[in-house]
Amino acid sequence: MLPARLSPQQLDPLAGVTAQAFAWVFVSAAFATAIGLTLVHRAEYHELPLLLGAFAALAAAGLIVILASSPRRAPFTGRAAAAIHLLCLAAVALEASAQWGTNVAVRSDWAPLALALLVMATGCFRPALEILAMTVVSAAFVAITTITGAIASDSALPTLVYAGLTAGPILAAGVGAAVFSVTLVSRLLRWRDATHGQRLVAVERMRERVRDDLRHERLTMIEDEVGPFLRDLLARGATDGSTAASARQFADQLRRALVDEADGVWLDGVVAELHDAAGLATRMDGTQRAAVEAACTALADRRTRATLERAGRRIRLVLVWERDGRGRLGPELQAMLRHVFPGARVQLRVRRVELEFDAA
Amino acid sequence: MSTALPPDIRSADADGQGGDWIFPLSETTATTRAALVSGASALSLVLLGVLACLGVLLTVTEPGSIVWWMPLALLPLAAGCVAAWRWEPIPVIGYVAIALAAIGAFVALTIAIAQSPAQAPAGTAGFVLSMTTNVAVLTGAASDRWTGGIAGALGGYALGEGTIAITAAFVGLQYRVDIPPIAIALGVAVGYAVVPIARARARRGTASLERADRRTRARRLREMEGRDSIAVLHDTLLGELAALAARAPGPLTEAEREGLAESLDSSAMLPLLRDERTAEVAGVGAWLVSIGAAGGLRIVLEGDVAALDAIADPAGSALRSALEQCVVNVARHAGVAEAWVVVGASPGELSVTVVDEGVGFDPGSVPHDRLGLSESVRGRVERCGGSVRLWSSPGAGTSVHIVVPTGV
Repeated sequence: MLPARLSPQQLDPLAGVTAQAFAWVFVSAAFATAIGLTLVHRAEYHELPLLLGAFAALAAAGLIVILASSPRRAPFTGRAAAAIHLLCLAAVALEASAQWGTNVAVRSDWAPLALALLVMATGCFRPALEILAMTVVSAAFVAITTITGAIASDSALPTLVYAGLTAGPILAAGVGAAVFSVTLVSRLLRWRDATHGQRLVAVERMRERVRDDLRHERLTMIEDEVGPFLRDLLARGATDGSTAASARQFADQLRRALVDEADGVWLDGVVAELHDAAGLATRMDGTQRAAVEAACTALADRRTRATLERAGRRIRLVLVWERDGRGRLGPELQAMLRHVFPGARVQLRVRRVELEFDAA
Repeated sequence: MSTALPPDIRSADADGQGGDWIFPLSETTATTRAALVSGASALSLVLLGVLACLGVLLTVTEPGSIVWWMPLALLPLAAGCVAAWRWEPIPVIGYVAIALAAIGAFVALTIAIAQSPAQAPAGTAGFVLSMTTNVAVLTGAASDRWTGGIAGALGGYALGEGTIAITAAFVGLQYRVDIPPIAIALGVAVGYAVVPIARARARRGTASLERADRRTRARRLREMEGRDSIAVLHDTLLGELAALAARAPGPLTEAEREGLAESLDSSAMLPLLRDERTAEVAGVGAWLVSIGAAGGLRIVLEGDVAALDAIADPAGSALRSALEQCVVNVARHAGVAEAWVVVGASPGELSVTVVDEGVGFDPGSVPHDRLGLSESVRGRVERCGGSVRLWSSPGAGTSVHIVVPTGV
């Protein structure tokens, strides 16, 4: 897939947590711009309800940016980005209506600038192509609105100049955000490619260690009793009355040991208490296991209990931890949990996380 | 009765490889910096492009409203912007060159605005000087290699606004404080200052995630390798012990001695053992027939049997071991003298069905500790990305349908 179609948040979920701070900065800047320019050019506004409507639309757009960039709601969706554009365009239209015929200083229009600032916030989360496409459409709308407003205000200069003053910054912000996004994605992909070989070598090294350990365990298990028994039998060359009973006993012991190992659940050693009668923990893939394990490790001091059960066609994982003790489920872990269970329903509550994910 | 057997280990991470979902802290600083510089430079270049277009538009549609060479005065700023973006590392002489280019551009632009009737009334706060000062802020931030962009942003503003103010005094252009460039300079400086704080907050979990990822991968490999050896142990030692448990006392036959010796050898090799026994037999089909014959069972091969020999490891060895166990199961438990192995090849996968018309069984009532179907058949096949389905009921025979990927 082209880097321009991938989002930075897809490839590096933790980057989304970093970017949340930027989202706050851009939203604050958008509001400061809107309030400041309105106060300085208050004489141009003659329809207070429309102006308040524009502020309400901007507030809604800012709220979406804040909520969508929150680790608790990761990832930032395309729908959220579209909503931001639509609400800001509503603000543009309402602001233009509030100063229809009296818009002397077109450069003082705050709604296009606020849109440009919020577009920049999406650069941390959304794919470059999507950012560009939405920006071009929004810039066109803003240009048309400005041109009609300039005509109504009987402006001195060609109306296209005014359109450039309002749509230009939006286009520039969109291109800047798209380049920011595609640069992050390209470098992340380059890092993945560059370290692929190292990771393979590390896995092979790990596999060798695991095999050595396992071989030692198996030999210990067999050479304890079964091996000597069979070797003695081979040396004697015949079975007697007690052979069948011994063979049955050794078979039962060996089978029990193997069944216990096959039934072992990885989550068992990670939480204080595990309720997983159907062995559903084995349905998580490696990445999901690592994220859940990291979450449980962070809460290790708070006696985490895990319950896995079927919820229709999905599997529900509930992690509950106690009030006492150190450790918490930080935003980076919340974002990671949401990221590694794509399409899952994730509910984060006080001392409790519920995840419903598709069974493999 | 049909029983779908879902995989408990996904083939996607069957190689135990992982870790590419956690971008290391050591890489994030340079990456974020590169993205910020690229984004700021692209934004600046588009702004300059828009300004140039507006200058040309005014020159064409309102001759005399702005001096014709105003767009040309933007070129040094664009060059400085590209240099700050692409020049790595920027030598001291480079910074001097970029600063001189910017100063020259601002002097020229201020003179241009002073001579332009459409812009002069706004003084130094007109859109041309305002937007170009923003570009100076962003270029300064992009070229700053020492303070992460903070000093660069403020320096860019000081350089732009200072040059404009001094030049305006000389050419008689009214100086007006322009709020947007001040806000942008402060905003960019604050933004760059926030980066390390925000990153530290986000990366708190990186170390614990990396540790958890390593532990998970090691455990995963242990589980997969362990299950391989469980299957081999089941097919060898457990089989021999079960046979001995059911045997009447007396001397061991040559075949029994060989079986015991081979099982002991195999167990000593665990878990490095990979099934290579089929190499001695001419084709998997013939090998299955020989296994059936040893257990008093006639195996009838149907379909594209040659495809069994063409499938590469690890799917090939997993399929051969699983089929061996299926044939052994029929010979031991079905109570019939004949079974069918039906092979079907299609692009990307190979399916094999082992069918008997024997006593059958209720899959739901198989004791939990029976490892034949769960580990020797299902476990092996699913670990290589395949699937197993089983149909059986008491008195109605048994069919085991195995599908493995061929990668074609």
